[in-house]
Amino acid sequence: MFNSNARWDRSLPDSVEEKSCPVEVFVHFSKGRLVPVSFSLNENKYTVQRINYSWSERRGRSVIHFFSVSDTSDTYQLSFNSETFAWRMFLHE
Amino acid sequence: MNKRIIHLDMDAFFASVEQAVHPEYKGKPLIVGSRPGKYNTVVAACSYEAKASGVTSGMSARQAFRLCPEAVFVPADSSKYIYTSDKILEMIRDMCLRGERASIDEFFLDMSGDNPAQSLEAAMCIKQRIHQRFHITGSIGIAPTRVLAKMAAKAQKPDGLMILEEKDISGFLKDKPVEKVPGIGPALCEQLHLLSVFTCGDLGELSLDFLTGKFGKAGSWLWGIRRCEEPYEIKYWDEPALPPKSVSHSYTLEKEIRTRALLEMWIRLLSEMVGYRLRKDNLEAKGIQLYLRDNDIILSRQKKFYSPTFDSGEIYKRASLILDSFCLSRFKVKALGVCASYLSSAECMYLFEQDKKRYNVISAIDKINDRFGDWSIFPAVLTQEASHRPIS
Repeated sequence: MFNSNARWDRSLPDSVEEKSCPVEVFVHFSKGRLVPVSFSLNENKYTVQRINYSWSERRGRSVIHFFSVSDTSDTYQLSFNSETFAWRMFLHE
Repeated sequence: MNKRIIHLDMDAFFASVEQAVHPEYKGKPLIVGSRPGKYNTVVAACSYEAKASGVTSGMSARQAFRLCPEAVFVPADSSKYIYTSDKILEMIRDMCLRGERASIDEFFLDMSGDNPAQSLEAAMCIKQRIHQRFHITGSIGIAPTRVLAKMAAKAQKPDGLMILEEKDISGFLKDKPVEKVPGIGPALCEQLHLLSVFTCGDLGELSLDFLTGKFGKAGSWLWGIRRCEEPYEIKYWDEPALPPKSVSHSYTLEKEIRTRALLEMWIRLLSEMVGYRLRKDNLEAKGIQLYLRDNDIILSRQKKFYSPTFDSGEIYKRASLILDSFCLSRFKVKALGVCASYLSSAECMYLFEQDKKRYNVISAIDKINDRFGDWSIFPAVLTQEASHRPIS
């Protein structure tokens, strides 16, 4: 039987450090869900048109919530750390 | 009671999730497993568009790039796939269905006792809910046994649904090559070909006595395929799981290892991972196996020790003893693995003070990592620069 806790490949030494930067996100809390509405980066404001996908991962006592979102032209990946309440945006390599 | 199994097999699972995360990749050939421009790993999964160019899972990324240079390469991110798999399981459990999660993207559901219409309704509901929530698809096979349900799901990929009633089974299997049956691997297939058995129809002609005489237990399983008999029972997810027989971690490297220090570092890392899982399951192991693979050669040895352990440092020492017994001149390690076996429940009783202290240190390290995340604290040897000491 598959055990989802048995995988630990994130911690391998050649895994590449995630490149991300802090970002300011405006969110809507609805029915226990966290919904990013817009975000600001380098004085530019982006309005979320669509949440493509969302997923979570536990890292120690923190739960990191990830969102793949699109505005009118591009796709972005945001994360929210439930422990520090910090939002980050992932940068493309 | 009529036995009926639903097999849900997600279509190109990792690739479909990546396409859902990156809608700009939808409809394009996508290969999961490598970063763009780095082709030293293997293909973990690929989209149907990449499959059309001949790319398959397990193929080297370099070969995949040659076959499909226009493909988008993305590194595998297991957290997304595990999360999605967990949510699919949650969704199925919410429908009050029982079954087994066979792998990250495969589920067997026991629908015995239900009529075909109820099974069909449940299957369609599962497909619809998955698509609504994740924008990905899965194929479903419904049949009296696991192996037939799996074959039915595969026959209708992607986004398919096939019901195999007992009366249709002979026709369905008649011309199917034996290598298409899940569980018939290359070695068994070769033996069957030597007996002029090429299709499941040919297989169905052979008697139980003949097959068990030739293949033992596997023979009785082969005989039962067409007759809807199989020796496997579903391991329900709501029943306590049997304790594992072994705990292992292995890894295929991006670049081959040529230095002893780097190889030791990898063995230590895998030993840490194995030790952590043993401790989580309250187990300890007497047997340690080390596995190294060059392109063509595999070195593997298992050794049973007198005292059981769950200490990652001790597992590493034992694996190092096995490493010393290998002749590694000119051996370039492409993949390696550490496996703990001969498992028993951990006693945690110590005669000597130093052993108790060691146990306390290990427990403290685990607590820190559980609280602050994996690898918040880890052996310093894993940060050392690899020396250029020859591998042998």
